[in-house]
Amino acid sequence: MNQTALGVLLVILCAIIEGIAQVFFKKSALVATRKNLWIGAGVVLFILQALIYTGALQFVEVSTAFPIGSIGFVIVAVFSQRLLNEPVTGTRWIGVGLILLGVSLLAARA
Amino acid sequence: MIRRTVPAALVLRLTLAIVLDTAVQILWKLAVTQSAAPESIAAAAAAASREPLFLLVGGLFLWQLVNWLRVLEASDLSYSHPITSISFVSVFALSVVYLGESVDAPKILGIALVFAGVWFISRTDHDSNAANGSTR
Repeated sequence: MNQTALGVLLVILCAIIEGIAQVFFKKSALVATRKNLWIGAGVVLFILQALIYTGALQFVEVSTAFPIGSIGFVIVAVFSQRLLNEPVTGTRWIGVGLILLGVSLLAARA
Repeated sequence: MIRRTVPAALVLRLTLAIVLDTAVQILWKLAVTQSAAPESIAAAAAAASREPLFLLVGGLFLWQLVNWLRVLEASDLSYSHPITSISFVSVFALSVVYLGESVDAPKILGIALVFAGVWFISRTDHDSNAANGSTR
């Protein structure tokens, strides 16, 4: 695996980790007890993904990493639907898709 | 699903989330460019703990977290998270004004697509737990 491919995989990993962290934050709002555990776990994951992202930038340019990282919007939507049972309707998916395209255009060659 | 009126408090908190996200991104980049390249992560953390700009970024991160948790108490994650993509537009706008970043057709299309996406998201119900009468 070349360095660019490794960098891309690390950025995707960061998006997945951030998605899980966001689910943990939402879980803290849904539960009656142990809210701080969910929040703490989310913060730890956020710090972890920031460190991994910093490492990924050793292998890919920011202008490449940023658009790839925008896949996080899709990942959060999928996790919300599967793990939180949120109703991600077709309208919401259209919104996510448009945002993904828009952010990719904004972030490319940033 | 019936789309209910979004509470003003949620609109304000989402706006704050976008403002804080924008501020964090801009100030973090500024702090990194103004500081010397660290030799290690530990050295970077030590240097960051002494720099006012990094401390400000840290404070904004905490404020962002507290505000975001309040947003998630009142809305679906799949509703609010995409809406914060507007911060990409605001960061770009500030980059154009203060850093002289160029505006071209792809960037304008990108801005339009982000706003179009946010509009579609806003057409959906913001809090499925409240709609379902779920208790916490």
